[in-house]
Amino acid sequence: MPQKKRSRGVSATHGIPIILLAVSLLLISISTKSILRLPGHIASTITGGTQYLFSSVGGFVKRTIFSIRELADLRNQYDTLAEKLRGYEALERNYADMMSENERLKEQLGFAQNMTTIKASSRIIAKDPGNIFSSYVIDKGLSSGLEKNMAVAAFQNGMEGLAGKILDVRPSSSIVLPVFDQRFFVSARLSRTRAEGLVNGQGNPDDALVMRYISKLTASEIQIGDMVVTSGLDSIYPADLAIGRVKEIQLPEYSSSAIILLEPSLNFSKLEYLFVLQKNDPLTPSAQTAPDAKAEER
Amino acid sequence: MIPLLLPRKPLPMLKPRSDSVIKTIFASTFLSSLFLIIQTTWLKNGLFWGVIPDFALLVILWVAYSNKESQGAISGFLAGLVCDTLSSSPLGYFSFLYVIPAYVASLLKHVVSMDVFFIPVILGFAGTVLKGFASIFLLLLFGPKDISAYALGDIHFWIEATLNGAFAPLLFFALGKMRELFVTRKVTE
Repeated sequence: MPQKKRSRGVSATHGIPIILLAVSLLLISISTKSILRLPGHIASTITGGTQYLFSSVGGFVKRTIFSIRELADLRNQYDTLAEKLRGYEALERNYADMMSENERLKEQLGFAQNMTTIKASSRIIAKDPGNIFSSYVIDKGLSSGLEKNMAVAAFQNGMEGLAGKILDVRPSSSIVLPVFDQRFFVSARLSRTRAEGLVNGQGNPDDALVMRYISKLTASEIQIGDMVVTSGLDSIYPADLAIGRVKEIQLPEYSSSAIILLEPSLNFSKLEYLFVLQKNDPLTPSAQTAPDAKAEER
Repeated sequence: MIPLLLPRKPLPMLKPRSDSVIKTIFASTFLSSLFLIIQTTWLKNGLFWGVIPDFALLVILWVAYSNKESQGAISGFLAGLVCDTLSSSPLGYFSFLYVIPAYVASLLKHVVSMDVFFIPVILGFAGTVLKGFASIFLLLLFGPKDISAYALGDIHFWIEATLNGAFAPLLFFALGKMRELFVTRKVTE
């Protein structure tokens, strides 16, 4: 009898973890083939909501504590900004003149309007729990009309850059896969030479992005500092969104194509807000352009 | 001489109560999940060099070490599922990563006894290293399309291991104070 009990104890100690590991592997194999969506969706809805709650509570406490210090800072900032504003007022007048001139020139050249529109502006409320995967959680989801695979951009230093794409959408939040993730791929081209390639990340925001499939012949025209933008050839990302600048050109002997390392155009450690973009299909008029088209018909 | 020949009084059998086991698993899974949520929100920018310590792993390790059955592995599995829903990882990924250190910790209790400082530090550090090796195993098994793994040559991985080792004594001490909640009671049959 004691032997039986001991063997039962051994099987509980060793058997249960082994069964759990097997279940984990089974889950991974199923989920990577995207079959098991429902339980994950339900759970992510709950956890997403909890994350939102925690982020809100944290934000509230932080705002309350630092509000007094912020007030003093704001007073100083107000004085500085008031001075700056006077300078900007002069600049604005010049800017308005230049804009009208630019519009006229664009019209003459017959450029199509930028197809990219901002679907939603969002705040980063959470990041990946560990240090293995790199993803952001934003505070907009299905309720804001977001969909999976929408492009996500950010504005930094007066420049619009590609930040990533939406990986998963929940009712009130979404998971964004950033450009530097190694599972991220985007069709890109060099802004100056128009050579096309495929850009993907290396998993770390501090590491360079990698651009592949550029022939060595074309690579000879590329210079350090050249801008790389989205090509717009895939159905996800709009064209001409900045991705990064050429940092290094590698010409491996074993391959006919060059490997180009890019400095990302966004500083991901400072990102706070993201803009989810919607790419309008030029063949189907959008809701905004429809009334104009009807007026023309009349 | 005579007392040796007398029949020995059988020792009372100790058996974990099933409700106590469930309570332990539920409490440890809840605490791990709470730490996971905190890791993603309040600690999203990291504590040191942008690295987030894995408090959830430390809870699982302590529960696995302190309980005689597989409570640690089960709560590791459940907390891993919660972590998978918070992360961009495929479902089951973190479950696998948490069950392995929990299993090893449950075996380790037969070999070493817990102290205040050194064993927690070693457990926290080694648990993270095991998690790293488990992630590499999954990467080799499923390929890089869907799976990411720790890079053992990356300084961030070793910072995480060091942070986990450094926080382990403090957290283990705090968990020791709540022993009633996280360790299954034994009752006599």
